[in-house]
Formats: sequence, C-alpha cells, structure tokens
Amino acid sequence: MSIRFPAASSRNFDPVTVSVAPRNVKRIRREYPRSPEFNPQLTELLQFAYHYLPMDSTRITNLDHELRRRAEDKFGRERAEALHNDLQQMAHELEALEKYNVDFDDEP
Amino acid sequence: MSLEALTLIEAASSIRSGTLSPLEYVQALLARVDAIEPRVQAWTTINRETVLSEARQMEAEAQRKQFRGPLHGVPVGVKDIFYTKGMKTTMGTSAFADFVPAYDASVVKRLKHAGAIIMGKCVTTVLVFLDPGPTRNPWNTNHTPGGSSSGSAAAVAARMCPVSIGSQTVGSVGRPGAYNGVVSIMPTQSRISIAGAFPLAWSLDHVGAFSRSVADMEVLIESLSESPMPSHPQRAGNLKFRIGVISDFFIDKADADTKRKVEEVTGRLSGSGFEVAEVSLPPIFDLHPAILRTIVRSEAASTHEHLLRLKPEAYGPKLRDLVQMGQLIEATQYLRAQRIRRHYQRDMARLFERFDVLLTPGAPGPAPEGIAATGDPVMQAPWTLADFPTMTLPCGLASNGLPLGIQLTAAPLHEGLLLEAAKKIEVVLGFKEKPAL
Repeated sequence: MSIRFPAASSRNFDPVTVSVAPRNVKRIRREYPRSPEFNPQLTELLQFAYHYLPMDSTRITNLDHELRRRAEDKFGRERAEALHNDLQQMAHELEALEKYNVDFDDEP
Repeated sequence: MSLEALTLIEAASSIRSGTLSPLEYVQALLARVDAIEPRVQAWTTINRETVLSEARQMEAEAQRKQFRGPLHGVPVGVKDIFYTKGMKTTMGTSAFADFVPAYDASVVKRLKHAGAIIMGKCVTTVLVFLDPGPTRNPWNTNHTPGGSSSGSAAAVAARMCPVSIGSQTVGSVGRPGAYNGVVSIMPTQSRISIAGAFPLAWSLDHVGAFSRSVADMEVLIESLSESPMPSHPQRAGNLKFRIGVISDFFIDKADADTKRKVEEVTGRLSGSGFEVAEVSLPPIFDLHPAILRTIVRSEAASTHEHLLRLKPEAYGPKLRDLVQMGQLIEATQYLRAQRIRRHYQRDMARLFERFDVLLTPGAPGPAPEGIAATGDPVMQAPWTLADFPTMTLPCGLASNGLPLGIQLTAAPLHEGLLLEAAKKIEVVLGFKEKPAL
C-alpha cells in the first residue's frame, strides 16, 4: 500500500496541531527533553501514520485470530471455542478503539 | 404510621425529639425482617445481638441528649462487599463465606460516625458482577430485583430499613433502584470513598445508595461525602431547572410502557415550570460500549486472575468469562481505552452547557421475570463510564404492576444540583405506591 502524504507534509508538518480536535479547545503542547538520537522526521511519520492511515481491511480478521490464538494458548482449544462469540465481539470493539484518533499531547 | 414505614428523616428527627426509641425502632425493623425475609432474601448477615446492643447504647445517649450525628439511631443496610469490622463480608461467594474483616470500609466508618447502626449486610451478586444471588423483587417475587446491589435495593423497598448502601461499576445501583421503586444515587466517584470495598473495576467502581425519598438521600449523601457539597444558589430563586431529554439511544432501548411513561413525565414537568428540551448525543457516544467493556474486562482480570486460578468453583459463569476475556487484552489496548474515555468525558460534559440535568429512563422496562439474570444496565453504563452523578426516581407502575423509574444525570461533582432538581421533580411525580408484602 502506498502512503500519500498531504501537501503540508514538510519538516514543519505537525499532525497533532491539525488534528480533528474541536477548534475551541486550546491545545497546550509540552516540550520533553530529547535524546541525542531523537529523530524528528521519524516521529512525524509515526504521528502521521497514527492519525491518517486507513485501517487495514483485514485488521478485524487478524484481531479475531490473534485473540483466538491467545485464548487457546491460555485456556485451551475447548474453552476458546466456548468464548467464540465474546472473542468476536471484543475484536470488533478493539478495532473500533484503534480507529479512534488519540492525540499524543492529550495526556493530562 | 407503622415504624417500618418511617423515612430516614422521620426516624432521625423523632429520635432526636425523644418521641422514638432507637431500640423500639430496631426491634420493629427486625420483626419486619422476620416476617418477609424468607420471601425476599435481601440479607446475608444480621447480627441481632450486636444491632440490639448498639440500639440500646444509642437510646441511652439520646436520653442524655447526646447525638453522634444526623443518622443517630437509624439502621442502615450495607452491601456485602464493604468491609465491616467484626462482621462477615462474603462478596456473594463461597470463597469468602467466613471472611471477617479487621477494619471498616471508609463508607462504613462515615456511617458509624454519623450515628447509624449497621443493621446487616445486604446480598450482592457473585463478586459484584452479573451472576445473581437469591434476592427477589419485593413487588413481585417472581421477578429479579436487579443487581449487583440486589439486597440493598430490595431491603429498602420492602421497608426492612430506611436507607442502604450499594455500589455501581456499570449499572448496579440505578437499575435495582428503578426495578424496586426506590430512590437511588450514584455520585461522582470522588464524592464518596470506595476504600475498603471489594473491587470489580477500580476506575469505574462507585459507592451508591438507596432511600425512599430524595430528602433522605440528601441527608445520607451529606453524611458520606468526602467534601462538602456546594449549594447552587442560582437555582434557589425562581430560575427554572433546565432538563435535557435524550431521545436517541435511551428512548430507543426502552419498552412501550417506559416510553409512554417518560413522555408523560416530560409533559408534566414541562407544565410544572421546568424548561424541557431535547438534546442530542455527541458522535463519540457510539464508542461507549467498547471503551467500557475494554476497561471492565481488563481491570476485572487484574483483580480476579489470581483468585480465579485458586478458587474457580467460587466464580459464576459470567464473571469467569469476563475475567478470561480481560486476560487477553494487551496493556496498550487497555490504556488506549482509558485515553479515549477522557475524550468521552470531555465531549459528554458539553451536554451540560445548556442543561442542569439530563433525563432518561431508569431502566429499559420493569424488572424482568425470573431471577436467573439481573436485567440490562444499558441506561446506566454511559454515565458510569463518564463518571457523572445519576439518580433514579420511581415514576409510576408498568402494566404488570411493577415500578418504573426515570434517571437524572448531572455534571461531575454537581450532586447538590442533582438532589435539588430531584426534590422538585419528585413532587411532580408524586409516586406513593409500595409493594404489597
């Protein structure tokens, strides 16, 4: 899958400040000490991906399979089978949460 | 009036004025328990000797005009998950059948400090989740009282005590309140300390309470509150209370009787000087079940993982499913749910920019038949997740004779405003029915 960067995707592009947050909410950005290895471009890419990449269409199936595998490992095949409906529901719920944008500077 | 029918305020003021003996009052309530407990099964433990001895002590103090606090001599039921020093606390499971705590939960300490007599421990569902206990609905014993605060709600409805303490993680106070035709409250989490209560999901667990009038509830909550509740002078004058009625989701989930009753109530409120308008929910509301379930599953797994391994026989099937599902959730997924929860709280709080309280049904319908399940917490879940205080008030009877309730919600820590609005709404509702036990 190719990644299309928006026109603003220069070194100054800041997906956090152009996020979908309501306009009347004042955002306060915090500066944290950065290590010498800190790569701002990599961070920008991560932030961009976090906000704008569409969910892989197979993600829900993968989540379902992953949960099922974990359930079999922990509780055995029979118990995983008994939890089948709950596992499917949880995969959908976790997927819905993954799709929701949470800003990096949203923490109190 | 028979002694068991006294409200908290009536009992407390009669004790204070010397016209009611705490001992006689307690004896009357114990006689009521003897008469109807076999049918309702609201209690796990009542230490009669201790209760009577406490009552004698309260009586002696009252005769000397010494009063410990606003609840002096008033018996209170406490859900069997709150630690009570020297009194069994079973959490509704065989795993703790003989557990006697060495200290009182914070809420029990506050009750004692206010002069209350701990009458006994009220039935909870198994470890505070959906697997029911033996309690039956006093209005019709073929129906569930709801849960998990089953015994606390049923005991107040059945006139076995004037007020009681419960807890809510999803819908464990509001739902039993509506099903049993009593007043209930779930305050903001920080309003009343949950310390010393067995947890289900600590970031969602709330102390709650039941009474038979809003005025009683106000006295009780003021006695339990960790900080003084601010009054709301802007509502003391002639300003109208602004009530937002949420049509989408809540009304959609209600049955025909409940829809009709809520419509009738809003019409009556509108005609009684309240400002009533419809309100829409923000888009993030759709995510609330996913956020809530992810948090409950994860935290319940953290609470129970060890105990479930040690004593699997102590668990009901629903709680076992919940814990095992929670064991599959990754830390990052849980934390993501908590972060989104903050967005949810922020967006939902904006509903109060235009309204003092929001009105929804207290439950989708009257208490369902049978006691194998405790009903649907769908009306409470969105507010528990938001940590907004809610109250339920009985508002009438369904076609099958069981009570229906409305639910009021206010902004966080606005319990004072919520109680003030509820007192005025209670007058308009004029609910006087009681179970025929």
